[in-house]
Amino acid sequence: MTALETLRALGTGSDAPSESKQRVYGALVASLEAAALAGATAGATALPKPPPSLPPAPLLAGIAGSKTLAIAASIWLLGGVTGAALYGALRPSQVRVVYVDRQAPVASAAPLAKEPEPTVSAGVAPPSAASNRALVGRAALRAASSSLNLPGSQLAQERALLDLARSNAAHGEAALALEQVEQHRKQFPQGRLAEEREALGIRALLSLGRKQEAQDRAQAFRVAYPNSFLLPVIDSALSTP
Amino acid sequence: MGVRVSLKREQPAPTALPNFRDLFEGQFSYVWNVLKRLSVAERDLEDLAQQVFLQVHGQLASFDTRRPLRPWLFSFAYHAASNYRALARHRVELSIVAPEQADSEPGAEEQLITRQELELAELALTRVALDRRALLLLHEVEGQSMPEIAQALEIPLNTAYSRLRLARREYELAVKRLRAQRGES
Repeated sequence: MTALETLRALGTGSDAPSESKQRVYGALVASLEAAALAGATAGATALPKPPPSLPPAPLLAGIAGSKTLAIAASIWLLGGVTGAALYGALRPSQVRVVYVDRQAPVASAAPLAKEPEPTVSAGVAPPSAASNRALVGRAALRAASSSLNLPGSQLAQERALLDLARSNAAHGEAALALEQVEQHRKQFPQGRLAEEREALGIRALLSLGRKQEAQDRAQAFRVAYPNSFLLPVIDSALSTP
Repeated sequence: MGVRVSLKREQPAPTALPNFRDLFEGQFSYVWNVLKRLSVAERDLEDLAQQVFLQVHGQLASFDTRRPLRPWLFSFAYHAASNYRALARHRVELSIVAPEQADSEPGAEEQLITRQELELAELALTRVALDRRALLLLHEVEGQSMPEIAQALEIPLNTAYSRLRLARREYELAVKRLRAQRGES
């Protein structure tokens, strides 16, 4: 047998170690999920650059004489004021979502009517951490609903809702997470975070044991987002018994 | 002697894009072994494989389903391994792919010879320069067509043929030297 014939007999090799395969797949899913989340949040709230840094204190300590000190202090103050003015003028407008616990308007409260709304009378503490989280969530929903007339903050509102849903899902409050997902769907049917919302909803349904619904939604997700970064995450969740 | 795996040529008609998870399941070992044959150290294989599949995931939508999948995957592995070697050229590590199981069960002596021959071939492969080794792997080992290889590696067809000729020569010379070192004829 010639050397080249032996080469042709090599084949593509044996199977890779299954534990390596699992590890790589796990790392891959984590990377894709992280990338998807980063992509979803990128540009939403770009942090402003910090103001010009102040001169370090040890420099001042080394300056002798009150006149020199006064000049240095003036320069320092002038620099600070200029920096603050520039910072204030150039800083991009920042969206801030404030959660205020107040009575919801009738229209926005309607979608929540199906769920038992915990009633809290004045001076009575919430009965549990779970219901407390529910109240906070609803308050945030109301706050998000009430500020819908600010088009520039829509992405921030979407994020606020989904952050809450994700947080509740992480705390085992899948029903509440699903409620918030549905709320997001009603408020932002074509929202920029719709893809993330759907993935979150599927995982919440799975946590609630509603596997058939989760599968149906996953099917719809595949059609709507055939190249989604979140598909492996969804597939992985669906395949977990 | 080991049985050569004959790879069916994909039909030219476009088909549906493969599902990423199925692709990972079906092609992980292939990518793994290609990376190994392109001299990626054992300890770095998982990282490189992950890197390759991340890129595959990102490019999957643009994959032309009329083309065979493996040369396309090979190109990702090849570029990853090239970059890796550029960064880690000071590292020298020998990495040999385990030969596939033969269908038939030859006698112990014959099996030993076969295994030795295959290991020698794997070892000789590592002596061939990476860009030429890619040609040997794709054409001689996998049986891919030269136009397909040229397209996957993004090189002119003539360059591909030229590299293949050089690769064969380099490989045969490496086999001769290894046999001489082992005291074989």
